[in-house]
Amino acid sequence: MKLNPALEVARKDLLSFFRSKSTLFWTLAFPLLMMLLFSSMFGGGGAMFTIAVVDQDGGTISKAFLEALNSTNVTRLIPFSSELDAKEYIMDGRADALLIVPRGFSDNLTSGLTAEFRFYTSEDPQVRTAVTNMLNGFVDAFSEEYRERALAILEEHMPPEIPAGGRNLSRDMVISFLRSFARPVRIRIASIAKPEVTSETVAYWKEEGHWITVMLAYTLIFSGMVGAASLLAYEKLLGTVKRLIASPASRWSLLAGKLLGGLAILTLSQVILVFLTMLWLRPEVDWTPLIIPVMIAGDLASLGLGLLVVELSPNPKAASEAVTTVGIMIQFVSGLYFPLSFLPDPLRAVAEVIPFTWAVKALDGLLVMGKGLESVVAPVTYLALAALIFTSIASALFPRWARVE
Amino acid sequence: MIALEVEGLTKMYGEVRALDSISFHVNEREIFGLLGPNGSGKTTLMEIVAGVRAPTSGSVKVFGLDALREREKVSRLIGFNPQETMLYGDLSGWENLRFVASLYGMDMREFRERVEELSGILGTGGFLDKRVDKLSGGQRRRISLMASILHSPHLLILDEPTVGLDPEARRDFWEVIWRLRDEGSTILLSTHYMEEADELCDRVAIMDRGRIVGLGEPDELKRRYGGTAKVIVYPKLRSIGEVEGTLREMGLKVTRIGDGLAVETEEPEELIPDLITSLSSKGLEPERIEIRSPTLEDVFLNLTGRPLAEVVE
Repeated sequence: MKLNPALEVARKDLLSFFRSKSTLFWTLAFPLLMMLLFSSMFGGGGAMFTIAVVDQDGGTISKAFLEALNSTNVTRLIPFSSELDAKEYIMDGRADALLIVPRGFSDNLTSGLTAEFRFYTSEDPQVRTAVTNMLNGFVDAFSEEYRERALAILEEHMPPEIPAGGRNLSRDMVISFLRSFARPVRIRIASIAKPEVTSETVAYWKEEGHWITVMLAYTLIFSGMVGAASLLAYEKLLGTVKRLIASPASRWSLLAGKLLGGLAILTLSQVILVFLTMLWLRPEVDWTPLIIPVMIAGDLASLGLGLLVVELSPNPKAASEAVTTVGIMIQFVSGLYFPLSFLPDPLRAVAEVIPFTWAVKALDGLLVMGKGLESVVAPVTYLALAALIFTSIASALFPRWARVE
Repeated sequence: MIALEVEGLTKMYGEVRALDSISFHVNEREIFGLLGPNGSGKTTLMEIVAGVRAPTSGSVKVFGLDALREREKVSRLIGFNPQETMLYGDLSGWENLRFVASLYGMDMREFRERVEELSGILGTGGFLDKRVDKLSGGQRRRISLMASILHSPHLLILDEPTVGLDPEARRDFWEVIWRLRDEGSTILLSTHYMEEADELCDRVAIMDRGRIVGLGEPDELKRRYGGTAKVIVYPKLRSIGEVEGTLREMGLKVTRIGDGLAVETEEPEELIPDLITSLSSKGLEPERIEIRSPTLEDVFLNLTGRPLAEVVE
């Protein structure tokens, strides 16, 4: 049986992959370390913010609020009886913020009035923005929950018809009307900058299912591009590219071999990383075979782009720098580590065009949100098209790149 | 039959003319050497023939096929072994060879048989299963050569194949080259070792600054461009001045070469008895006297005005 050049290129690259300690580190160990680090920072273990609390109210609702806030694991609450002591504690840099539940808070709520927190944060603008937005999000959720419960009680005791202004209003109409403007709990905060980090960010990291997307998409974007680039640049660095082009093997078979080897390496890495993430975090994800076409199309697009970047670079060193830069940039704008809403508008527009953003969205849609086939058709088509375009251009440029000028 | 025919080959790098309208041919089963210093254009020429580099103008024919237009066919006829060993360090010798075999569409059985055969010739059997980056330079060169001849090429191109090898390993390598020639291969090799070109090659093209300045059999080149023979007298060190004076008194043209005094002559055998008589009469018996025939070094010097060793340095 004849030895097939494409299969042998793939075989050779796989052997080299498993024998290179640095490649194994960046492809397998690095994303795992990142997952362990971030999941321990944002996951179930430690809290993100330390908040001093002075409960001047001491009522049942204020206690329920503080218990709920404490149970999020995003905050660690330190109770104080004196506002002065609590402020000193913040000024010593031992807490990020101070939350004061004023006297009458619970009474106000049970009397149908608006209740208000007071909130002080440290001077550090980053901490202030982050902790304020986290608390804003939480207060909104609490307020909404309280409103719904209050309206439910009201609805239970309200007659079906209520006379108003010479006509009868139905109970549903009155409840809807009340729901539209009721905001029973508010928070008063001094001098707050425009929010940049939202509570959505925290939720992003806390959603452990998203870590499966991160593991898959990290390898898809970064390992794919850098891997393909290394596989090709390595040939030029070693001088082995001369043997390749002096041989009768076609450029298509050589590039197909590179893609095949890259795909095998990526798939293997992805299986290992997902397995270890599942073992470590035990996230709840909706496994579906629909991730397979997303991964294959995404991997091929990434590999194709890696090959193309190398061929457009003047030398292997420049190629390595270019592909690392592009790979890191794409990771950060594709929604892998932060929600797209975090990005400024112009950058978000760019991110939407990048095929890998579609891969991240599709994976999160399938794994975290439980979406179906309709959510992957467009991303898979877009990624496959990108793969085809990148690889075709790379193939056309290959002879010019490989030949010594 | 003509194995390789190069006609008007020119290669420009911007304003620099690396090859300047080179023309020559190599006969089938011939060992043809390109002798010249670094930068003379040998590697550029070989890489163009191998299809690794594109020429600016000119033509290359390999066994009658246009090497620039019929690349796929021509590449099957050529085995190319550049200066770098072109091997993957993290693969074993055997894995490297298997990969190269696939590039030439060999089947597994044919590959195994050929590896066994070539291991016998090149003596690689003991280290083929070791990772290439753990091998010595000489072992790597053998595997690299093996990779270049795995598919039994008709024309073997070897760029500086013995650089870095010790004299013994170099001689072993020559034996392999002769054997390949005897088995039917045509060999185009480059070198800057004069003795290698002299002993190994049937014909030699002397290259300098992108041009062929002399071409022919080594003996023919030496005869035509090597000048006359030299008698080298090695006196005792303390009497070198007196000996030089005596030789000049005899009306000879004397040049110092290291510890020796060189005298150019058409008839060295007749000159030596006269020299010994004159020097002995003054009590200046030399340590030794030798006759040096013209070498390719002399040819290069006479053709370019510069010694080859100096240019190589």
